[in-house]
Amino acid sequence: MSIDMSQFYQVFFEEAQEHLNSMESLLLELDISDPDAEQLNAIFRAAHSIKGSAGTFGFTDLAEVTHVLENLLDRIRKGELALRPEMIDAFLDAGDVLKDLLAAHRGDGVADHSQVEAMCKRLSELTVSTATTVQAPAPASAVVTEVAGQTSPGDLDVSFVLDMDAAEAANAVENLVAELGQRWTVEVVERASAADDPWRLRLAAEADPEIVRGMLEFVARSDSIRIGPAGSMGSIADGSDGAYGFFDDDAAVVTKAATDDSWGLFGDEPELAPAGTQATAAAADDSYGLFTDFPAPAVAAAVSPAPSLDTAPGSAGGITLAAAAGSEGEGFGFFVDVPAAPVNATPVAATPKPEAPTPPDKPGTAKRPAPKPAAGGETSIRVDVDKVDQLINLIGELVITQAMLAQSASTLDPVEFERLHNGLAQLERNTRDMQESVMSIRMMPISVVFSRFPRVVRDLAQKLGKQIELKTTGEGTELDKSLIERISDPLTHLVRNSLDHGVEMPADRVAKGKSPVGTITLKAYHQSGNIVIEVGDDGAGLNREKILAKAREKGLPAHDQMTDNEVWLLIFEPGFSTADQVTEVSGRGVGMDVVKRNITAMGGRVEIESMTGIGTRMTVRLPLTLAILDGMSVAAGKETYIIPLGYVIESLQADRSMIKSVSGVERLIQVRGEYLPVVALYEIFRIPGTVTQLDKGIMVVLEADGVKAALFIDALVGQHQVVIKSLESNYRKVPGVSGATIMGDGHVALILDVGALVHMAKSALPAAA
Amino acid sequence: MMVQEQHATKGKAAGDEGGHAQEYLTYTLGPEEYAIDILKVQEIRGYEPPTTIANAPDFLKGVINLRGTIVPIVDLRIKFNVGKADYTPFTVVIILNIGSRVVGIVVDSVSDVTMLRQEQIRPAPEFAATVDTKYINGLCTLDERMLIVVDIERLMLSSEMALVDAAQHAQ
Repeated sequence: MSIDMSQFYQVFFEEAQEHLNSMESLLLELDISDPDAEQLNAIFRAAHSIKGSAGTFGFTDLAEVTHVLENLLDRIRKGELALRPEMIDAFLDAGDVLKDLLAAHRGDGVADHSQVEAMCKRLSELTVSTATTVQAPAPASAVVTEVAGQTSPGDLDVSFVLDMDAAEAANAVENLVAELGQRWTVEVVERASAADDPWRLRLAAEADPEIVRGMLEFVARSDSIRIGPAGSMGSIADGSDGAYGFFDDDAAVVTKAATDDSWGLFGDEPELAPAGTQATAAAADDSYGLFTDFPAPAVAAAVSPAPSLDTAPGSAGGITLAAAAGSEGEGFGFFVDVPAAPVNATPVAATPKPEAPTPPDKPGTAKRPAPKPAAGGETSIRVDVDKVDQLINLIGELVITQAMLAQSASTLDPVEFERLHNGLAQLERNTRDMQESVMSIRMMPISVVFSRFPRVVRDLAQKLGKQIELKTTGEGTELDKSLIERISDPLTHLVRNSLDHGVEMPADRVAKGKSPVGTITLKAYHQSGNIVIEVGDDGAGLNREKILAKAREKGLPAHDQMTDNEVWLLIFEPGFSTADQVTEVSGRGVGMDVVKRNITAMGGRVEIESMTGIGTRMTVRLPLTLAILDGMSVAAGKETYIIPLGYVIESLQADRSMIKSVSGVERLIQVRGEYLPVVALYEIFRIPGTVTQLDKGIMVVLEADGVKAALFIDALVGQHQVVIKSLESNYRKVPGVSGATIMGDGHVALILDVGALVHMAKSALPAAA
Repeated sequence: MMVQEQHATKGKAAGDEGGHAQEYLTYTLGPEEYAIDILKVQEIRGYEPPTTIANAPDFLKGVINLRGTIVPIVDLRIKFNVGKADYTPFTVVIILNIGSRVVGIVVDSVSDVTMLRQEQIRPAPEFAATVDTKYINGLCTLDERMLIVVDIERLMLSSEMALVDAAQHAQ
């Protein structure tokens, strides 16, 4: 009977993972001392979404943790709790617990329920311990209970401004009251006379402020909703409805009272000044109570009845604006100061409340008038990678077919077949555009990888007792999804390496006259068809002596004449570690050699630059995509080969004088003072019918893994972007060949494995000599 | 260029008569006639010069582009040293689907598709030949002709064909 939920699990897992990731990055960005309301809300929403779907799918443990998490977050975002660093820690750990749980549900590892309980406990402790300190129970004043006859202690007063015009308002309030009435006893204390006036309701004690707020938010301006214990909205000095009544009956008085005691704000406004003079002491007292609880916008709201006076409609509006926007420095300061000052100034005030903290969300929003652009604005669809790959293959076919057509048509008379030629030209343009856009489907911004590093750096820095600032640039740089997946591990290793070995301890840094806080920079950008990712630190730099000593100890070929660059490359040797001892971070069996191997396997390379005392920079260069390669096509005999352009330094026709022989075999060529070994392709590949005299053909100078060699071929043909096809899917690995591609005429051309060829030169040299 | 395409009809092979009948594609190599399971055959096409691969055995003619897939081409006539290894417009390449791989074989000609029942296939006696008997499922007489029923999958994936990396045919 039941629907098979498992088919939706995958979607849930992916979504939950995304929510967790965004939650983590938001948490790391959060400014603890002054959290951004928008960010808090976003974190809350992420937790809430996970909770919701976890509940739906029956993952109770996930729902349990997120529930507690959500509670705590909710209180923070409402300003009931102050955000503290240990909360961020707890949130991050909770995120980890959730990730573990997710993995367990995916069938990857085992869920640790004690962890769940511990986390729930930790979170609820945080919720409880702070709740009592911040949320001081506001005692209902004796005056209030005495005066407001029907008010029992703990009754709630609610005030709000409707978010609609007067015509709809009556209806809306009626519905609202009916709705609330189904749960609790409701009494309309004060009706708004104009659209911008506040409504007031009184609810019985058992009403849950949260639910009430939720209901109000449908009809009221969310910033105008005030919920507090009965009487706290404004003290009542005389008569049961006196305080409330004056909003109704005599809005002018309030305005005057407000203006008079508004610390000269209204004094600045000539039109209002006369009104202030009529203020009565009693009214003033009352107004203090009002203002104590009402932050800036509420003041503006209270002032807004002013238009009913013929004094100053314009100026009142102007003040409202100024207050809301916070643009006018003085006016803004004034509003913020109001709540505290009148309490001290008027001991007669009927509210014995402690200084009410200004609701933090209000000043918060006013202080940051420019909200961040919504992160999840763009829409996207999830597509199976296989489908995209298939599409890319088909487009590749289309491009080849188009090239074949173009070639056949080129033999036709251009005049006679003008229309055909035009059509083919357009087809070419269209296929090219199409190929580009299909390729871009696989492209993703590198921020997907970068976003994990704030956490990595934070945790690791904490563990190692270092202070690190992580700077990232170029997160928007796009690269192929398959590369993204494969680059993230090597990159993590490089970052860890920088953190562990590069950046010094704070004390050492200070001793060297540096700031105690080290910087790690992650940079990504495009450069000549490559994507370049830099991991830099401002640490001590690599220690040449130490590396050399270590290399000798390991029996690696090392000598003092090696250039710095060669020395740095030693750290990529297997089993090499610059750490004095194995720490928790290093020595996990994954060394820089693995990093290098992984990156080379992707068709990329790593370079190191380092300066003692200044820092180290590791630069990773990768092709934009694994599917396409910029290649130089060369001819040897009847065959065409593709050399990946990234390895090509230059090509030249060798002069007799450049060719040098060693023990009678011509195997060296002198290029710009350097002697390079010559790799003859016809020899290695046994290609019949090629040019064999070294000064007749072309030398292509190649560099791979820091080793240079000259490849001897017949001729250069051209430069193409080629679609890489695997040779191994139907055949086997061929030494010296990294793959195959299909040329415009439909023929297969092999792509040369430059790294292997250069090594062949190395090994062939002594044998030939 | 003569290109015929023939897609294997799945499911028909077994279960028609006697429960053990299966369709086989027969081809000739010189005077010999071979039969292979038709379900392994993807298509039959003409020969086109492939891209040669350096240092490969001589029977591996190279690789061709089969609608975007790189397919190695093996000339069985060279491998088994039968027939004349010349390439005419009528030279036939059988494209095989073996496991997840696509491989082409060059033969002299394709003759027929026949139904063979399991009991028609007699075990081959042990004898010395270039084709190891372990790749021969059996022999079959059909109108005076002898068909050699080859386990083409096993043959193509064997180390002697060198089509697969050494690591892969260890298992």
